[in-house]
Amino acid sequence: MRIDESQKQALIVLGMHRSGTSAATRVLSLLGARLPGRMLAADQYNESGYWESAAINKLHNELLASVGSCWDDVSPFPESWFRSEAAKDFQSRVAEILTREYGDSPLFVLKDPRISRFVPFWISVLKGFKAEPSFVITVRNPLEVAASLQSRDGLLPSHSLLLWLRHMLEAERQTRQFRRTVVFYENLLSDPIQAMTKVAEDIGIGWPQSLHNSKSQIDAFLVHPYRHHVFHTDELNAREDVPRWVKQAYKLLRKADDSSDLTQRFDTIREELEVADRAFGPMLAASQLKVSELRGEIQHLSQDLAAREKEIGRLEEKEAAKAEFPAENERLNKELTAREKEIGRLEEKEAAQAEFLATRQRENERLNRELTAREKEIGRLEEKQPSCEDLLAARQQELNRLSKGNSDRDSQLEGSTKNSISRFPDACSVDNMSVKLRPMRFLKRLGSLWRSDAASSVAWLFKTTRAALKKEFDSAFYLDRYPEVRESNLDPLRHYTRVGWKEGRDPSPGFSTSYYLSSNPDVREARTNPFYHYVRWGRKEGRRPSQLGFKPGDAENKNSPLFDVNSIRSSLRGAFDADFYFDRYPEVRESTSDALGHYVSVGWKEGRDPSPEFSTSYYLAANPDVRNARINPLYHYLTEGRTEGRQCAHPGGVFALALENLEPLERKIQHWRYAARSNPFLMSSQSLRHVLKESAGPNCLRFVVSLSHDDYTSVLGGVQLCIGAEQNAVERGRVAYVNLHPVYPLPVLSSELSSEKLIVNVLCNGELIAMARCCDFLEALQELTGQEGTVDLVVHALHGHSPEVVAEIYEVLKIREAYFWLHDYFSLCSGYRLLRNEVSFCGAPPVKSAGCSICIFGEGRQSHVKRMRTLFDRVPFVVVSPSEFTLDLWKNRSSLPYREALIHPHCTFEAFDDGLKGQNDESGRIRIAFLGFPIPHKGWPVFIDLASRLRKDSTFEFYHLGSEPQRQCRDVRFFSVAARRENRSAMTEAMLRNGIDVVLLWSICPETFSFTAYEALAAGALIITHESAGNIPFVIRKFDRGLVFNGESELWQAFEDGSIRDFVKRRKNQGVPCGALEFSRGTLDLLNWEA
Amino acid sequence: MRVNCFTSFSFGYLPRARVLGWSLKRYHPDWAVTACISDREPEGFVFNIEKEPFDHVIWTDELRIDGIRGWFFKHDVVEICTAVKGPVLDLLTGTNADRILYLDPDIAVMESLQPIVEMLDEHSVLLTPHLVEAETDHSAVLDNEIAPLRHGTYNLGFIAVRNDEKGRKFARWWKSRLMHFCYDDAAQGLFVDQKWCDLVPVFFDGVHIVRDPGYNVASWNINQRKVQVDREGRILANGRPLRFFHFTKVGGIGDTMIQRYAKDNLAVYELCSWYKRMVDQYDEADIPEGWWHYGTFDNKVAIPKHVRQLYRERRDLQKAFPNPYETNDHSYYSWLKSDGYM
Repeated sequence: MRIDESQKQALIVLGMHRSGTSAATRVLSLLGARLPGRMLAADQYNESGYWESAAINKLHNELLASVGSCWDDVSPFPESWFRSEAAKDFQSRVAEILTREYGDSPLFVLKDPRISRFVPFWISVLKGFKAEPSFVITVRNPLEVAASLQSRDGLLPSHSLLLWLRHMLEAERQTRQFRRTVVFYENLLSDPIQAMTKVAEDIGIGWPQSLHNSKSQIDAFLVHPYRHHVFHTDELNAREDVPRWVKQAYKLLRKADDSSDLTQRFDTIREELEVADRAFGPMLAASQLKVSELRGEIQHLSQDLAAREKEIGRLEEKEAAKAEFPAENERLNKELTAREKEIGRLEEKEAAQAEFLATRQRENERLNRELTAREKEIGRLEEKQPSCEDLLAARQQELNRLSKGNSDRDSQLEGSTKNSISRFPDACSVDNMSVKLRPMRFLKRLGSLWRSDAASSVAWLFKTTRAALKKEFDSAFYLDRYPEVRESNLDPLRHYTRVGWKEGRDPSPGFSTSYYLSSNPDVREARTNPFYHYVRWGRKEGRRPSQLGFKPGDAENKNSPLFDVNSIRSSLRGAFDADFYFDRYPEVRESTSDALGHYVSVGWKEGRDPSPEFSTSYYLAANPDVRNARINPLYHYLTEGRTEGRQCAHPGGVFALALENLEPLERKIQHWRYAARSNPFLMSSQSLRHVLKESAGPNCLRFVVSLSHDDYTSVLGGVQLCIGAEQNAVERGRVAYVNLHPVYPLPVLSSELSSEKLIVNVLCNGELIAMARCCDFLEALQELTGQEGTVDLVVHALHGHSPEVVAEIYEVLKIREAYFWLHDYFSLCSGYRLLRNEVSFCGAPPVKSAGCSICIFGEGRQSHVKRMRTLFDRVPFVVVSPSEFTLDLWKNRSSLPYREALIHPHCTFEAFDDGLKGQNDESGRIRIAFLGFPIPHKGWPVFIDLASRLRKDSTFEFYHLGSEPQRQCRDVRFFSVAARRENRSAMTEAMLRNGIDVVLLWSICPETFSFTAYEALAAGALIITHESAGNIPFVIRKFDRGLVFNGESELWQAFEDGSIRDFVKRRKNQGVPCGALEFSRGTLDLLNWEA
Repeated sequence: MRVNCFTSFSFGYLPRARVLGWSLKRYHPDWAVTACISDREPEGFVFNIEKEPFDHVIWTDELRIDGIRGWFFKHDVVEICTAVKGPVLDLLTGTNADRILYLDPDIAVMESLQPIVEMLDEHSVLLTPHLVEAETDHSAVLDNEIAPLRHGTYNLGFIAVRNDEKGRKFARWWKSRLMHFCYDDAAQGLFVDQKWCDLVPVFFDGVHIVRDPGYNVASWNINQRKVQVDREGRILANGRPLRFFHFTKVGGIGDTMIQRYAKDNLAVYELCSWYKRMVDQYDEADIPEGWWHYGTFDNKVAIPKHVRQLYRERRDLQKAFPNPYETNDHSYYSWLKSDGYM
């Protein structure tokens, strides 16, 4: 190598972003060029490293920002800057960094694609650093660059192409006086040795490390699937949407020599570009700005329209029910026709505007494509631009008119309602309505069209991705594995495509998001949904979906017994459970009858389990040595692992596994926030007063205001049923039942402290009437009630509510009596089930205890409790508990003051005199059931384990009665049943139908009441539970209906030693009474209005 | 009572050390917490003691030790972070501290350590054994009993010393041994600072072995200690308050060991889950992965283990190159290059 002793040599890697500058830099460094001391850390987007100085990268960003530019700016870098004072400042800073990064290295490599735009700056820096620069210009097919940038940054291809052109032209022009070479990306990847030989020849150096010796390292480095987008030159030339300049420049670069003819042609392109830039630059920038403003405006208007549409729909419904006078009706029809007209006009304008926008878009593209036609196009654009503004203004006016018409009509309708007498019920038939509503539907479609346009292509992308993944995405697995997604009520696939994959969640048992991203840097860099990538391309390209998968040709060690299929088969035979395998993976049964063969060849690589006892994924995760050796995990366990004391499944069970995925509370809250809708249409207090008054009826004297965490009319659950029953019990006409629940649901208290900020859904007598700020609701109701003591307050749940606002409600509405229900323990902790880290019953210990300190709810508990304290200080609640157990626990663990404390069960059990069950059953069989949702907290794993252990004992049969079946349980018969408001005895009936003898209620959280326990009573079933299951052991003891154990081991013991069998048989012989449940009317049972 | 509790780490362990400092301050805001750092800050990161849960910092490369560069060079990161414990303990016995504690940076304090202070009213040196009762299970014998035979009976993630003559005598002895023989060298019967302490109950008076199961709970003894959280929120190990847990390699290979021995003890998994969350929270990601200033020569070239061992063994090299980190023409580095060691 020839190096001048005093002169250092700098290899400057130039080129467009995404063109292989990093790869080239690394290869140069492997040949002996020194890298900077402190490089940009490899990150999730570039695992194999950026190979560029972190400090210089930072400084470049600063430099670009200082001239109002950034990395993706297509304008030329201002020449005048190179001579400015600012440049000198930067120069001295860079000099310092250079010394630190490279010291006295005789040969070093410096890379950042941004340098291409300000080469003169670096030339003068390097002069000061006594380093002679040589330039390595990397070139990649511009179409590949555009595709790569589109997937990584969402940049429009036309933008990327111009950016490519700018980088290439500048790099070429500014390096003419220096030693330089051009490296084509595809050559670097296909034959790096030849590419580097050419570099050495072109810039006249010898490599410190021999090419031959470095080859293996270089090959190993370049083995990653770098090049995802591949285009050929022909394709570039054939594409009409690629500017001629880009094609020419790429062609010239491929010729790449320093003949003056070529440089002249580069100059010609650059001059043309400059002219175009001067002509179009400002206009394009302005247009872009305007388009984005218009899009924002349209989105806003569309939302407004949707809200109004809803409002109109509501009014029209009322009209249908209430419009009676023909004259009135005619007038209303007129009104509607007028509105229709208005809407029609608006529609036309909007259509025109949509057309206009589309036209502009097309024109912009044509501008890039057809240079010669530019002048003409500018003329057209300039003509259109002012009319666009006019249109927008006109549309705004229309909307204002519409809005005014709306509120006028609102009051007219109200007037008409007052005087209405039913004479012509058919005057406003359904047919009529549908005709009238048609324009609205069109508007809605148009609105959604624009919305998607406004959110650019993002929504469309999500939709396409979801459509592609629908077949392969495993919703049940996803919900099972990530229970918090279930809690957030989001569609699981939507959750995965929007945020799930970014959080590293897996879409199916066979696909590992994190593995795929970590092993495919190109996918990661492209920030593409990895599962989508796999389904669309990865699978065909032979990429692995998870680390378990073999790539063809991997099993080099064919002769080793570790890979000998027959030897593995025979070893596994005793431990493999074919029935289980087919039951759990029905799709395998469809493809083969050889379950063991499937597991041995592909099943384990797909993470499937060979038996209920062995977890393939756990074993591989816990034993990296087995994983890396790619040995069948069950085979390893049986032959070696077992004797070495390795575990075949997580020894901590399902809850220990849950802890591994436990999210900090703050992150959970973020999920909930994400799931919440934005920009709700909020009703004013005035409108709300009208609506409330109408909904409550003219003779309404009293209001019950209830607070809950969600919409009890649409969500199925115990608390929701209670609220529903309460609402049903109010005397319609005289009393109105108003429910408030947060528009933005949260698992914790809302952080809003004032009613002005808290937004609630308002239901009146079970109908959603508005979304409003809580202060507007208060104002509306205050005006309606006026008289003190006509409103009662019932707090059912406070998640997403604010204690301060509840106190405000109490004070402003001059509440007569306030009730606080203990449906859960939210008043003690935001972990409302009192499960520490969502896995262990904690008993609500002192806030500052060590137990709380290790719990995800612990940190926020102090302020939670403090805010609850303030609420109870301000409101003298009557605390209502559904059970004695719950009230005792609450009194022991909270020091909250209260006016009175009551026990009011949700239902009572009355045994039939002649309803004994079981006496005549001579089958000798015992049917054990699990009721409701099959989730861990309700004891599902214990039930399944029991069913599996007792599989061969013909005495026991296992049933699951619930709304959704659980996969993976061949030992359990599933029957669909769901208790609803209209049929609350559905579960009891299902139990009686199936002759259920015993119900396992193994809830790990302390049940405040347990409807299922009462349903079991009514069905004449015995109950098995444990001591910490809250009210359940109390129910058992009170009615002498079953057994209470201290933990799971005691339960197994009782099954094994036959004591459970004997107990059940004995009780069945005696006969177990069936009976009826009388459901309470909730708070309505307690309100004493006469007093 | 003036108590000084110190810990020793390189910046790679800073997030864990922060959890230790924070957890200690929860119960003992009046104790002085000293961070001994055998490292230098990476570029772009400033160790600001004001913002850290420590009261004092000792940059161990500034300790008054003859030929400290050479001494540092002889050790890898684990060795040096343990070797400095000797000189630092000795240094602290020269202060007005009445009680001096050492805790590993991967320990978290879960309950008041006041009983330690009180035990030191009667004793001068406290040690916690890896195990306090014999194993019965074969694999546990392999993992948990043979390991202490190899690596030392006592776990030196914890040691407590009373600043009296007996304590100081121990500190001087330990320092002098660690200055010369704090290596992970099983063949020589050495395991950093830990194996030495097998000799402590024999050599010194006033030594007390803490057999309370609430101290130094870790993967190697978790099979003998049932961890529970009671209804008052107290964390207990075998019914005794769990004072501190040693989260050795938790978040990595330590997880497997925990699972193997904690089995279905759910509270242990809760503790580990909490610890990982805390470390995450304290990890500001401003330290590059694998950072250790003394892991490289001045020119950032990584120092291979054999190069350290060679220097450790050869007095002539130590004499010729008192600062072996240098990379100029007359440096150890140049010598290694020219002689083909690197």
